[in-house]
Amino acid sequence: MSDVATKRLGPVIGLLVLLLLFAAPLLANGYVVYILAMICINALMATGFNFVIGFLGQLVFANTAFFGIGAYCYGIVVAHTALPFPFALLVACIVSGIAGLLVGLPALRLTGFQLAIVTLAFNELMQWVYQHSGAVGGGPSGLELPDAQFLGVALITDRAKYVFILAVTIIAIWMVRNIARSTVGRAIVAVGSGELAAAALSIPPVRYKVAAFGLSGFFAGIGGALFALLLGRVAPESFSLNQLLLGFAMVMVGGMGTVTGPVLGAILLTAAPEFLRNIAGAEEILYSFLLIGLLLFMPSGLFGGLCALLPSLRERHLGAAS
Amino acid sequence: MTPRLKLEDVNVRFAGLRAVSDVSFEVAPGQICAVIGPNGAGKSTLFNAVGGYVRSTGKVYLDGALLTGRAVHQIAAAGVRRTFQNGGLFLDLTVLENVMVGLHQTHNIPLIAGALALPSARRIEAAAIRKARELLDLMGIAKLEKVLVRDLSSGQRRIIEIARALAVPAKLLMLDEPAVGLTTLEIEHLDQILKTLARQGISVLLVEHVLDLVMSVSDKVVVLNSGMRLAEGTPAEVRQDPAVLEAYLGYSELC
Repeated sequence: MSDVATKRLGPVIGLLVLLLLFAAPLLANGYVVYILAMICINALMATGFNFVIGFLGQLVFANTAFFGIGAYCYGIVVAHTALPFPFALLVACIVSGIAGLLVGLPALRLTGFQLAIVTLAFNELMQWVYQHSGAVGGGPSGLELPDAQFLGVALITDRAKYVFILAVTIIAIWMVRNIARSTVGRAIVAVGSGELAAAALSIPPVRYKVAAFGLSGFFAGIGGALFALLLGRVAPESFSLNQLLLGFAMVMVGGMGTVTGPVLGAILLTAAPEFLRNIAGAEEILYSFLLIGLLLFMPSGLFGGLCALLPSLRERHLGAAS
Repeated sequence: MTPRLKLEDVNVRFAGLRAVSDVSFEVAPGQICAVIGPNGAGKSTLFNAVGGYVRSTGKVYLDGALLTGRAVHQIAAAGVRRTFQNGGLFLDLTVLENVMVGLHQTHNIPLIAGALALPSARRIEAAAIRKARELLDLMGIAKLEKVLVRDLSSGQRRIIEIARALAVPAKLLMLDEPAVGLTTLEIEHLDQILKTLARQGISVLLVEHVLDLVMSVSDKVVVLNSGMRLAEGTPAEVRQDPAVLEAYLGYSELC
């Protein structure tokens, strides 16, 4: 496909997909709509993860903690205050963004496996916090959340929730794309690719490392808040190591260091188990083979593989003006 | 006139070893100064001391302002730009994107404006892209704009690294062995680029083993040996200095 063809077809296909996604509640059954909502949530979680392991290139495993902090913040605000749920969503992503900044501080001194272990420990610390959150967070059994209502709009059914989740996801991913194409995105990639080389161009490495962590927390936090909204409850078991591995696999399978990759990874790894469920007894084996096969034959992920076939798909770290 | 770069008794120690001892010299605005010496003489370490990459004692001034003790990115922001011996380009970015990273200082988009693609952000980005393209044009490599640096030859990379280092107004350009791995033709191209930069008032500090290039472009040569300044003068003077000849004995490249 030539550059021109991609440029002409791209927006048309994009618009069709968008229409189809928003029309899904009318076309598909509740189960499919629920899976679509989970895809959006997982896409945000993987996108947050990608900021540090993809763009910054650091082995950081605190992502589930950010996702959990986002979910709990949303849950605590809607369960204990009369504030509207969009406000709770805002609180959730800001708090998880700040958590990201704080976790970023040890990362200024550590790299590689040490950083991986320290951030993994942060996940476990948050598990302890959820378990001991008492009346505020509901402790081991979690919190039941009231219906999301605001200005006469009530998100009670999965279909209504899905439309809201989809809209927020699209805006958030659009923001991530813009960031990747602006100075901040380029600076994070530059620092990740060579800290001294970036500093030699007057880029302060510390600021952009911390920024990558903050953004990671922010976007994973949005995912977490939407997750709490969809389920109508928050509980510690949702934010276990399993969730962390799933997010990691999504980024790896989709394609690290790209905006599209984590979204593709989230689509595949959320949808695949649902399809495989019909093949009784072979579910786990097929899922494992899928993962191993993909990484074996597409080491740079699904999107990396697509870019090798169609170089014009490669994402640019340049503004839309180009 | 205030010298562009002034080194006063610069010392760098690595675990008891003195890599650079009491080195002092000056570089005038628009002057090309080469630092030569045998392997291990401390040339690259001296560069690192000027740029803030290693801890040093003594004083380094840029246009009279003290650089010593500042962070690498602050020294870069003050106008000291460099290239790296092993290549400091971002391999997975395109040529244009690499130069755009070099424009960070002058075309910085605030996070929120960038995330929301506000008109202000678009304007800055468009200006940066224009500027980066002009630079590539000037260096005669506009055609490579969309190529990943990973796919380029070492000669092309060297030129791009210089273009990127000079994307914002620089006062001092430090080049660490820019001619390594370049063809004769590419070295001539580099020679021309350096002379053009000097005419524009940019001072150049050059570590180089290709002595033809050193003798052709330099206004001044500083010779280091075992971390100490052995000699300093015009290329012709240095070439005839007995102390230099002795240090270089067995180095057939000189003379």
